[in-house]
Amino acid sequence: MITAVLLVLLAGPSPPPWLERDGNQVRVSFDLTGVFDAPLKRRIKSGLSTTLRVHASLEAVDTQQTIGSTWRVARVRWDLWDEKLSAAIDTPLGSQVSIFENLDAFIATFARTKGEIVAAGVPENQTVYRSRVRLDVNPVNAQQMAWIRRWLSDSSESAALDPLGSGLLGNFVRLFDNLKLGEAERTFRVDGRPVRGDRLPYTQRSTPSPEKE
Amino acid sequence: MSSPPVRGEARLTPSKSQPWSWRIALSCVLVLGMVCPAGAQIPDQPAIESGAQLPASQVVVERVRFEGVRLSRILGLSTRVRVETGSVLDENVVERARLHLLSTGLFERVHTRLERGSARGRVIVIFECTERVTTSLDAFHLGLARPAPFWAGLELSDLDPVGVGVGGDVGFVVAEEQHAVRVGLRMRDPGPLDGLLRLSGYRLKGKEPMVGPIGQVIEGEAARQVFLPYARTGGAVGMTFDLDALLRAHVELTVEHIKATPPTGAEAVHPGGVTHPFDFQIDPDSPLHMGLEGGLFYDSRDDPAWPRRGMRASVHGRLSHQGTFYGKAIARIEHYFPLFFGHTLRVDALAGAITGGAPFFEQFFVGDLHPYIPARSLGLNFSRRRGPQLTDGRLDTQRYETLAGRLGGEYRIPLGKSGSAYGTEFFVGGALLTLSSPGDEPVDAGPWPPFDAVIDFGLRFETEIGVMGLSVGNIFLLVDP
Repeated sequence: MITAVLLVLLAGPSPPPWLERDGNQVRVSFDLTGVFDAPLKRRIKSGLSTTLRVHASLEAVDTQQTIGSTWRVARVRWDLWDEKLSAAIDTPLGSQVSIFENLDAFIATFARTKGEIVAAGVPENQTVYRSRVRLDVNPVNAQQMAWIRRWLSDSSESAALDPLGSGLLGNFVRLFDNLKLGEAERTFRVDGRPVRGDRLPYTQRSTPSPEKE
Repeated sequence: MSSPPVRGEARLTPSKSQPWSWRIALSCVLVLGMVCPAGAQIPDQPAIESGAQLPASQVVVERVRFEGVRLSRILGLSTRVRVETGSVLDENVVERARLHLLSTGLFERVHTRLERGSARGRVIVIFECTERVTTSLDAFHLGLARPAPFWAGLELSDLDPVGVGVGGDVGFVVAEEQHAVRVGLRMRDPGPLDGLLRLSGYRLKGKEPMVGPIGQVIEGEAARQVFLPYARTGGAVGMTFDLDALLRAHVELTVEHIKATPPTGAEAVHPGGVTHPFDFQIDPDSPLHMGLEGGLFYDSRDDPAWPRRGMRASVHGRLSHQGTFYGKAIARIEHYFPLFFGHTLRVDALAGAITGGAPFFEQFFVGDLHPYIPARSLGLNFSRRRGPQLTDGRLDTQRYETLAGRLGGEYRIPLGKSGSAYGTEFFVGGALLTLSSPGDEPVDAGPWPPFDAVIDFGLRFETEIGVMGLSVGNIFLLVDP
């Protein structure tokens, strides 16, 4: 029974990111392997390049201000014949191109990190922090988004019988299929639990700040 | 603790480049840039591309396949995606094709993938599409203003109703003694042409309630309005070309037949009690009305339905003949500025001028400018309302005029949860309006041309089924004060 419960828990969504204090720095650990579901794996194995962008940030809960962030980006392509994955991975520490024998090996490398610096100069006070991790699959930029929705403006520019058209204040209703694609083909978010700055678990205790002396 | 590296990416350009178009586009962008240089481009936020590069793919495209697309659409789409069979696969071309498919509005999702071809190194490019509902309600006409008991109408369009790549639209508006109907067809990239072809036809039967600057008389007796019965039957053929990702050119030829029966003995009363016969500028001996117009449209807004940044600008000219030649030009600009806390500021301006004897329905109508006076619906005006005059600028004496101007702004405050794809906002806007005909200004208007200031505010909602709004100006359309 206990084993079954554990299996269900382990097979669930990705665990929340974990924060640790290392002096004045805060490190983040996360495991996003759980978000790589069947459709995402199929997308990666499409034979075309897929861009995966992970953005992890530390945020003050009260002000929602971002204290610091880190990132990693992978551009991957599955070889249809050799059935191997080529991946160009960028992190703040550098870039590298690797060949993975299978998709799971890539996911294990890319989707997990342990103790990566996410913010520096974080005081040990009662401020409550939260970590947020976001994975974007094939992000779309603003220009592309505007381009995609340009069909909406096709009908309004040339058909007016009125010399000024109806564009000044607009109609007060316009109904259409307004499904928006979002900023990426798919986006996954995992948020950490709120934790006070002076109660973060330590990998290394910080040097006492002058205010506390 | 730093930003990801950002690299340049494939530009979104029209697939058939035309050298002359670039010169025109550049000239127009320069002109628009002079008018409003700041923020003329969408802020570039390129997709993140890896600093390290994947080894180049050397596979050859054997075939292109569409999935989830109705059969009749596939031929038209195949010519538009421009992924050449037999060529080395270029992922940028495939991605551009995917965006082109999404920009047609026919699909809510387009995914791409490869399959092994008949031999090693040959692939089949597959576009997995999910079709969407392509019918939209573009306008909803509903009003109540004397002398019409009410009027109602709709404008509907569909990007491809029967799946052969031809879009259609239909609109109608009906009142007690007036009605209008319009039908149109649209076809993208017809034959050798690269653009949007539009054919339309319309029929209007009007009985317009005309009013003079401060009153009107029939055979010397004061009247509430003077009815002008008329009918317009016509059609237009137009073409819109993409000069750039943000710039479009439009040309259109319109031909129509006009039949009007001007009332006899009707005179407009001007300030000071002077009366003049109404001049509707319709030549009954020349019922054929023809016009050739051209325009340039620049649109860098981040979203056509719910913009937060960017600019929309246009210049539009028309040369027409109806008994005599006349010309008309309109320039307009809207600029959206994103502010703090998700607030948005819109600044807009419009200027229009007509030279020559344009028929009354081609002149600038006060309702098309003023938020408290019903605008024309499919070319018909049902109301005799002059609107409240907030200043002493005597705009209430103006009706159909040959010079128009507007300088306005709108402040938008988002309500509810931020970061959502959809939203609700409170908006408050104001504008300074002017409308006049040179040599025909009211005698008591002072040194300024007739003008007025207007304020409008309300709520606007964007949902998965479109955009809706409710403002003070909208209420005036349903409640005749």
